[in-house]
Amino acid sequence: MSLSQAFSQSQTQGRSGVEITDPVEREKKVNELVQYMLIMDQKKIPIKKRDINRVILKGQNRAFNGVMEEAASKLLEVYGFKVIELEDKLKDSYILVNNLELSESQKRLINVNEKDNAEMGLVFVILGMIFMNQNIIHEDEMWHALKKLGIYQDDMHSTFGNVKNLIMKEFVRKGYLRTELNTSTDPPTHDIFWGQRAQHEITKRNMLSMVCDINETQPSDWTYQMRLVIEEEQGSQQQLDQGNSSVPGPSSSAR
Amino acid sequence: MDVYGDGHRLFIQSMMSRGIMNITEVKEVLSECGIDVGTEFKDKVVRFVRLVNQHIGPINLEIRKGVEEEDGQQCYVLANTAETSISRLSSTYSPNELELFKKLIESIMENGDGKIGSLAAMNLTDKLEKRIGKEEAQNFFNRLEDDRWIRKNSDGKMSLSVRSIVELDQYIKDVYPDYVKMCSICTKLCLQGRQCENCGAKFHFRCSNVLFSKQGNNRTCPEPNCRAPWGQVVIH
Repeated sequence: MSLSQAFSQSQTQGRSGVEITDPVEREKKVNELVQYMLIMDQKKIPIKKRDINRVILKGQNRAFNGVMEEAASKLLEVYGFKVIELEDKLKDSYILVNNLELSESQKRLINVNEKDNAEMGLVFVILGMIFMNQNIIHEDEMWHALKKLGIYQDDMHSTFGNVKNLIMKEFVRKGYLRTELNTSTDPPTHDIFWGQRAQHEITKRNMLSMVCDINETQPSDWTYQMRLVIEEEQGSQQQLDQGNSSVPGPSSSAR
Repeated sequence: MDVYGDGHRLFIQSMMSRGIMNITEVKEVLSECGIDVGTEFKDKVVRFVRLVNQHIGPINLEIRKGVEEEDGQQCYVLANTAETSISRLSSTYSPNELELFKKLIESIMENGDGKIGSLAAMNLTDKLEKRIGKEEAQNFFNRLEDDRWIRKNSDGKMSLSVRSIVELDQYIKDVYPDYVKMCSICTKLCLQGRQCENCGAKFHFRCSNVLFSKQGNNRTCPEPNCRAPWGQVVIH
């Protein structure tokens, strides 16, 4: 950061006690935030509260919660996206999750970029492995399994390019995967889990039925996984019962 | 009265991911949105798009209708209505790539026929302050084509697609006032079209096809001050 940037930042922080009271100004900020989140979401990288404060609110940080609440309700109402606040290490960042229940043919209307589609396919394969392996996979187990698909960790791939970077860095950055360093091995390797975006975008039931379609088994053959499916569904039902939806604002699904 | 619903939300999501749809694609999306496209299709599209536009207006987005200059194909384009139209582009492409895109637009404007050959396009990389390799440039042009900002014409040359023309309309008029020509018939920006040999006025192929077919055997330049007889015109 340059000195002048540092100066102007410290200045704006001085103003941070100001709430946006002018309704026109407030509406403007809400719309800017909606636009900002739609643009940033294209890259699928979680949007940081810090960046929103810097780019949109320009130091009027106190207004954050109110402006975000209104922006979230617009994103849901107009665009069909739910704003999800992430937790743990990704605290203070946000993602958009599609709130529309789409059929396969409807999904194809949205995902038209071939490269993105291929990457999503790879994400699904890895998430499937993790889920079927009881929610965790060791890095070398994953690479071993991916060999069958012609994907090698140290080779450039014709579609994915630097596939090691894609899986271990990009997918993690986007919140599809989460890694933890496992120091009990020598040399230390990573354990890989579902990331928070995956938890919100993909239901365990869908994942299980997809895997079963591929290897021609029945979901009920997988007792451990089936229990997780049911736990997840009971959990979200409870949330609904308590009115504990993670997004404020009205949700109309009138068609 | 139409009610804004999931169909409209799916449509805007699809529009945001593609940026542009031709009529066939719009039809496909609307029918996936649960709309019977078999009857009164035109009317339904207009009403549907109008309702979506009312909702996305506040964030300076608008779905606009446009026509592909080379083949007259009708399209819907998602455009920014605020002046910072380059901003949405800048979230997708690097600054240096955008410089190359600007150089491409510059050449297309200077060429006068709204097109540029692929070799000439590749040579534009020499004009950049920060170099881009030929392969990288080719990849970038391919991406621009995939994202439908540019298109390959039937003669193999590159031209700006209707997406660029709608989105960058103001930019082109501001930056290249000396090269800009408006279609004498529809009054919109015209990069590719026919030109009157007498007065130099320009018209879109599609616009002039419609006009000439009305004029029958007595074709004249549509420019009011010119009206010169129109020569060997082949209507395709």
